[in-house]
Amino acid sequence: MITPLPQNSLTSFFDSFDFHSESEHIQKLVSLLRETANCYQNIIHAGFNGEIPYGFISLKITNDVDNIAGLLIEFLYVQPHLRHKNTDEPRNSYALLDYAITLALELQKQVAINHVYLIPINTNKRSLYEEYGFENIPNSGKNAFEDYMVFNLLPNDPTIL
Amino acid sequence: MSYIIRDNQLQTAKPIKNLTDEQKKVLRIGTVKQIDKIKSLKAQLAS
Repeated sequence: MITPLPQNSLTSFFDSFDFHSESEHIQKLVSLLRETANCYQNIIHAGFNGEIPYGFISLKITNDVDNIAGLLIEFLYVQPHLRHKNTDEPRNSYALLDYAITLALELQKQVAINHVYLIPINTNKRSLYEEYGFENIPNSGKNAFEDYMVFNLLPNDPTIL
Repeated sequence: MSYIIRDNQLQTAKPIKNLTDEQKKVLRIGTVKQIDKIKSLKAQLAS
């Protein structure tokens, strides 16, 4: 189950994770996202296996890509021991991505957003998103490792962009 | 706002302006993988 967290659940949710094995930067980012979610700047959607949280995704609407509005995946986190990289089990990260795309498809019907954007937090994560179906927007970042990635929800080639 | 780790620091990414034709193409045309994924997710929603 994946569900958006109300503000009053943020503390207990984040406190249920142990981020000490993560890098200083990831800890800082999580802390920042927790703070901004508390101020309604982003929504944390929590992933649970049964009642056990395995990760989360931070979502918001953006127009950072040339004012073409879309859903922004600010950050996707899965607990290290639940990152099923080399097993046959479904990847928890893909479940979170499926959720975000499905949510965007529902939003698309009502507010005309047609893209889901993200920038991987570091180079290592880029292949995960490519494998899922995200495409690199070439030369859109300060360097190749910072390019925006997009998942296009449009069915064909609109000429309006 | 997007976040990245650059120069061993957590930083924010800058918005993109004035997309080139090559960049616009990525936003206009869905890949086979994207289209298949959308079909699959819509089928799950409908079931």
